[in-house]
Amino acid sequence: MNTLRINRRQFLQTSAVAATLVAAGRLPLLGAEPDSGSGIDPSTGLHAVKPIRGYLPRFSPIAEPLQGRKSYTLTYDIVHWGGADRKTGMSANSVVGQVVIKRKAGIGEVAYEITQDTRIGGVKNFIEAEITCNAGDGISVREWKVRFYYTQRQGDTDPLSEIREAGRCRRGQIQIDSGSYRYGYSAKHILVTQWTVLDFLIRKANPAANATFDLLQDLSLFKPNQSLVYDGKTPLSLKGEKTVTLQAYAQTGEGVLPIHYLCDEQRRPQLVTNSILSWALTKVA
Amino acid sequence: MRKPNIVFVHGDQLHHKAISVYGCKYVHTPNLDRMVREGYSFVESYCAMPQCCPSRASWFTGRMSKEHGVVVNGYPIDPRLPDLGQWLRRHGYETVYTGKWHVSGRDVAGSFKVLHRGSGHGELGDSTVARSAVAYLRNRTGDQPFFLSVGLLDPHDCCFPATSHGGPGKYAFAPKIRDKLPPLPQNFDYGYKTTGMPQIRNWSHQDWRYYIYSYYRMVEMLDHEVGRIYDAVRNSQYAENTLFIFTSDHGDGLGFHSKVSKGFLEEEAARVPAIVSWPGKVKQGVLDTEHLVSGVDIAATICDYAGAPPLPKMTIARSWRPLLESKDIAWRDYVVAETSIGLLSVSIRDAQFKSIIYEDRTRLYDIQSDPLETKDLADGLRYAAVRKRHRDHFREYISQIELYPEPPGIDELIARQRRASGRPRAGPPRYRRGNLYKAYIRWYEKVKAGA
Repeated sequence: MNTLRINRRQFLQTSAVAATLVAAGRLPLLGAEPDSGSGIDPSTGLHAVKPIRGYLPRFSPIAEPLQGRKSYTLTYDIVHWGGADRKTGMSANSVVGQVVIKRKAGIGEVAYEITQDTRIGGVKNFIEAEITCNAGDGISVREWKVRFYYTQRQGDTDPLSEIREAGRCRRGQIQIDSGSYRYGYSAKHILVTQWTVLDFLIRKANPAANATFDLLQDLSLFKPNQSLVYDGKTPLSLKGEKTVTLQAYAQTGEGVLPIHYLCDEQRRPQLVTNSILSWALTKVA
Repeated sequence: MRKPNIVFVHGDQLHHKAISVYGCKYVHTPNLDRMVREGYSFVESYCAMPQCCPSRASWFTGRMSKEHGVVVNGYPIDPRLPDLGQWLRRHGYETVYTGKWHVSGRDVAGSFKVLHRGSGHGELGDSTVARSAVAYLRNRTGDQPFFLSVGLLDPHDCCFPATSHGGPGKYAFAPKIRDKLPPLPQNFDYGYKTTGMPQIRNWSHQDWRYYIYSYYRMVEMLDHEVGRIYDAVRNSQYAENTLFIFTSDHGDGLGFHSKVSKGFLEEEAARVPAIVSWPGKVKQGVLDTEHLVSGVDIAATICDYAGAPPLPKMTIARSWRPLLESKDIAWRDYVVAETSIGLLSVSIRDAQFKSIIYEDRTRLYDIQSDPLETKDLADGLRYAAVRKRHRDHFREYISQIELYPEPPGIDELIARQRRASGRPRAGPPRYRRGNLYKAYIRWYEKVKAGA
């Protein structure tokens, strides 16, 4: 048998090189079990707020009460993930728009008015909607009207850009009238939009219980079978060296990357994080 | 005969198998599935080069990357070449663009009426871009035929959670959805086995699976937007007279060969979906596994249907129209894709085999029996004849195309920039990779001469 003889110095050098390679993942077959947890997130912070880490030092939770109120207006900044520092993973975040959700409760129904504007491609893009939902724990969408349009670079509405649609959902059958044609889907669960789901979250009987709903994104794209699960506490360092712990609820399902809703102890949804786009609560009125 | 309207919708970085009707169990794409059922799918479809700008320049000029000058992202297109927008406009069309363009060196507004410029992020811009196309179909007036090109971004957003720090990817959430994470591709370990290390990233298997999970959700986002446009076309007053084409500029590694991203010539990056639909005119429900097609054919196909002459200087591009209309026609025996990212290489794909040819070596796969490209057959005598045949095809291909020459003064321009910045690898952004013209011209001329 051939025996390789090395002295102590050579052994230490070899060991050091091997350790460095393993640490750098260059010898994965000898390194840590590859099925073990994430190799990425531990160095870049809490996953629920990863897309807005650069924004958090500018953020203060809103303290206006929501519980028990039938009518209110929530205003969110739309925060864009525009890249990240190569070493720290710190996000470059900018505010690209605003969404305003006005809620008004009536008898047996809840009405919402939505105004959303986002700066994309050098122009302002608008969604304006009126939505009526059934009252109750589910707050399922029942009827709506929506208008989409964008401006020209000079700021005037682009006449070619407008779409108006009207829709309804009866016994799970969704019908949308869009210009000269009608399209539709079949919903099997509570029907929500990205705007009304916040109210669903606020009023959910047991916040930690799992839920399933169908999403009608922008009132036109149907994404069924969305799951909402409790994802634990998320402690955050915010503006003015404040720290706050929010409860995270995560939505997963067809056509969405995991969406986290971060609510405070009064169940105000302070932050909603997607991947490239997130929302941060700036005002409750 | 009335000229048809043409709607050309393109995704970005869509893996050729990431469509549920093609058998992928981990993604749900009801809209693309419907288009496949109602249209004609080319299964053996390759991009001209697996990177955004070169591939897109090939769509719009009918020239290969070494012909139109966009050798890699940022390299400017040959200013003399007309693109489809200019060409169809000259031949009676209203040419309209919305979303991602990314043909370096050319302003889209010079060739098309631009509805919306979109965003560099699909999650931010794709819905707006898709709606702009729908609104155009609804609100336009006049009876001029139109060519509407729609550039959607997704699933290209996968590039961001694929960065070394994971970008906005919520990887630590993966354990909560462990049962939903797709398995790793069957050839995932190929890279580990052959090199003893991952090709690109030091990710745990769970990270990889979360990446793949995220990628499929982005494909579903794309599917919704494509469906929105497809529905609007098929329900519009133009339905009966509109050709609809869908493809992608390139694929994504998606864990195959333990790779992400693009730029290389393995199937996951170079092969792309290609679906054409026109009820009553194009055969429906066809999965064509016989004909080898290329992204460079898009321009030839569109010109053919538009009744316009072929774009000037198209060399190897072929119109798909005879295939789509079941005409008996002799078709190409092999299809070529090229890359200038990393090592210069060229792939030659025939009915059974695929070579990836580098300057100093060749890899050879039996794509029919080894579609995941795990057994390199290049060594040994058994496949020497195939290697030679592919080398001959490569030589023939070089003799057919018109090599884009090195523009004068490039070396001086790069050297000046590097001196000024004091960094040896700096340079004008578009020439960050150095002077690539010289490299391919030298290699191709050597091969053409019989080397």
